[in-house]
Amino acid sequence: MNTSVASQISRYDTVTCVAPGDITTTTEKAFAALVERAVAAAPRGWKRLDLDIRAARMIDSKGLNLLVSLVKSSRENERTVRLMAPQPSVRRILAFTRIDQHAEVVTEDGSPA
Amino acid sequence: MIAVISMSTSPATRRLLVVDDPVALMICETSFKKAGYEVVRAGSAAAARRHLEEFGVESFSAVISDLRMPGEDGLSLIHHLHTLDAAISAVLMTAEGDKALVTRALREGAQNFVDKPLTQAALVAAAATAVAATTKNRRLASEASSARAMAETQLLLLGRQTSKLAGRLKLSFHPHATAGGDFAAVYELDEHRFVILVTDVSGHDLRAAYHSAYLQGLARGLLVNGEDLAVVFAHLNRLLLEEWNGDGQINLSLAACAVCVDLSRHQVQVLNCGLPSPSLASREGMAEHAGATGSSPLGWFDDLPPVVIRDFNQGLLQFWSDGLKDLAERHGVSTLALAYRLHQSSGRDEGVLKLSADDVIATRLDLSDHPGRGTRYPLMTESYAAGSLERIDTLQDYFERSLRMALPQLGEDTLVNTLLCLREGLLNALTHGCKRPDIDRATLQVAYAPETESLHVCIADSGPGHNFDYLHHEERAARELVTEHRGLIMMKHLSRNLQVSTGGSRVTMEFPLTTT
Repeated sequence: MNTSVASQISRYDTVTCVAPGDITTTTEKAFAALVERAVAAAPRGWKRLDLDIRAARMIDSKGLNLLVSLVKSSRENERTVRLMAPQPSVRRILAFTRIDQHAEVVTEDGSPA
Repeated sequence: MIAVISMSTSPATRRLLVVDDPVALMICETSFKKAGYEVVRAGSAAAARRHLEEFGVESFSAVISDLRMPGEDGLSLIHHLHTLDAAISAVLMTAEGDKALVTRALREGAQNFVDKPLTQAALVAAAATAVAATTKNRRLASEASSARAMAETQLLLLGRQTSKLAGRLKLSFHPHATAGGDFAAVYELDEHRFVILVTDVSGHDLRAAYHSAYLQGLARGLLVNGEDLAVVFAHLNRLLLEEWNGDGQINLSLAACAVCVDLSRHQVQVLNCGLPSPSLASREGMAEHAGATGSSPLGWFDDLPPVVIRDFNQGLLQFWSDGLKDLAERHGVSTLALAYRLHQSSGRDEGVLKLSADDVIATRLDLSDHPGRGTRYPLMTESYAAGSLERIDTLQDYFERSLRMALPQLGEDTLVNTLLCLREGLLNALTHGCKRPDIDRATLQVAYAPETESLHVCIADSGPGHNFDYLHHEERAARELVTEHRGLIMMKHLSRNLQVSTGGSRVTMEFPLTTT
């Protein structure tokens, strides 16, 4: 299981954060901290948070809670969240928890899941 | 060139086949005869081949040959010689400048070489070394052959014994060496009763095999004459303590596990001395220990563990040697998962067994009225204390390796769903059900049902449970983006037939291997 620290990219009006592997009890804090740093460093007026979770095979309940928190906080600040999630196992979880109704979920090439 | 050959007709006689030119041949023959060798001469490799065919390679103790000869050379002759008998030694007589050829000759199997010009002392010394090497090689080959014959006999008998219980008994026996100290046997007591006895004497040699077979035979004699397990084990223990180990010269211990099954009374008796604890699984495939753990092998102490008597309705009884447990540890998988894999493999599963450092015996007995029908096979039965929460990633890796070991055909989707639910379920049990660090434990059990091609999971904890309406919560969590309590919701969606019982402290789930 990959538990290394996630990486980050910021550009234009979008803040992009890349999860290096699963988002679980043991990695969600590091990923949350990375998102927090990326958001803090982003220029004023950014509109969208891109969470690149392509490397995640698994997201457990703690990981889901983090995603939900990020969606909620973004919504409160009139921002959107886009989840790049091509893995079927992850997309299934996003679907039955209905997170996909609160955030845009796209596949590898950016097309809707 | 002339070849000189010397040979021997009986083991006591030392016969050499010598191949060389006429002059050298005379020197050789004289030297060898003086040293007490019988000599058969050949003037060429072709002549040597004829002698080997006529007398038989086994009648020679060594072959001494010139390297350079007209026609076939010494290297080619040695190559042919070793196709006839890999144990016979050959010595090449070489000239100055043959270094490269000598190196090749040694690779080809020449036992030694002597430089020309020849001296009597060098020739005789080389012959003596070669003859000694042949004698040793042939003795080892003979022992290996005996060991193979012994192992084949053991496997043949085992096959006959287990065939009477076809469909009910699976016995996987993978000796690490040709002969070894592990032994498994099935003894029929009457129409409804039989004993499975697995014994383990340390070592992988003929001595260990002999000791194990001797003690098994003794046990068999007592068992079929009506003695019960406790009496048999007490007798073996006394024999080892007083007769074998009394003066400290033999110092033998015997790890043994005997299971006496009475199909008419639906009862099983287990006596385990020094082997891993047997495992008894319910019809649902959930396994638990079924015998003494941590007991000493026979031959160490006077006292023995009691016979464990268990009534069974249906289910499976499994036990194994240390070798299986050790192999499971080497693979980092559950012993039950490895046992299932080996039982499913027809013949040796080389990929799995290549890490083994010991004999591997795994026994599985189906106690149901209709063996194989609706049977669930336990793959994991684990127990964790509260502090295990921090190891959740390590545990998940172990679950994954175990599932892949047992079910190589497991698809990625099912694997990920199962792992996620195992993780969530265990996290819940450890977090909410194990508040008392030294008392509470979480258990995790996984079984496989081949008939329905599905995995069955049970996760439980010893805590009081908590009433939580996760179905009602799910709707609110999805609608209002509530961040808590998503574990059960995930488990409900990723599994089939999620059941929560005993106030929330026990959860069962199913996972079909093929998703539709």
